[in-house]
Amino acid sequence: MTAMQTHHEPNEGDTLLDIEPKPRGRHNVLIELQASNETVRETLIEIRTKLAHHGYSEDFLQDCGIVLAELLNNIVEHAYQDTGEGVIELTLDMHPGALNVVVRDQGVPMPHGRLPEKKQADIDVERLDLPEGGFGWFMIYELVDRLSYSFEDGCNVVSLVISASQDA
Amino acid sequence: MLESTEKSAGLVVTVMEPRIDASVAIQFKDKMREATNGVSGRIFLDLHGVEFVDSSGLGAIVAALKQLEADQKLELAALSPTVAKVFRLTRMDKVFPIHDSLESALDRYANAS
Repeated sequence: MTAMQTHHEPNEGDTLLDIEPKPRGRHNVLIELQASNETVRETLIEIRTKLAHHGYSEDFLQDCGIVLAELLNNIVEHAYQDTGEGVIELTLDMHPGALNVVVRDQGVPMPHGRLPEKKQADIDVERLDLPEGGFGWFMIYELVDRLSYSFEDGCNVVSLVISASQDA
Repeated sequence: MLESTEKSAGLVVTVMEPRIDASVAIQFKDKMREATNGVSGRIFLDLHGVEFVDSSGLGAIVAALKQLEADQKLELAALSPTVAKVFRLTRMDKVFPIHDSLESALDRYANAS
């Protein structure tokens, strides 16, 4: 099964780079992927290549990689409850110096109908009390310029902007 | 996933995966438990081959630390830029001793008893 599908008939062995984006402008890409850890990993690797070809800096590529990994992992684990099933729809809108991202899924809505709070895990504790989770949303908040969430027509929709001027 | 080598400074555990992420976090934690169980002293986690660690991977590295006995130490070596950024953002770079390279880590403790 191919990792990604777009609205073009894929040929055997097509990757994101081979498939032309929907005709909305050559700087937009729409990706549909299955919500499994392995597919997310493959997608992140291909997105990095695509962004690198677009000329973004290494530092920006790192930030995008971290943000997208955490967003997609959240959907796999929480929205689709680690079933490995479900579709994620990811739109990347590439501008010089900024990446607009919209991610949609049809899984469980966010608790309380809103984004989690930005909360830094407390590390000034004894070794055995160190946190093993709660890092993902904190890193997203640290690296994005704008972030919003809505639940519309049965879809979770997260929109964000990563800008190249962001210091991390 | 992991290769272990004994050095005079301690045990070196080299990660053979390019990504410690949600796909492999649980395996990593289990393999680390096997690799470090009963090893006395200092353990160096060599991350030179790891390009990417997400929050699950970071959690698994913390879990590996928590699995150790109180007298065992875990230090990290050769973090790639993205991995270093993840540790810095989360302040986990304050929790682990971090070395630029495995060589500098081993040199530091070369004559340690």
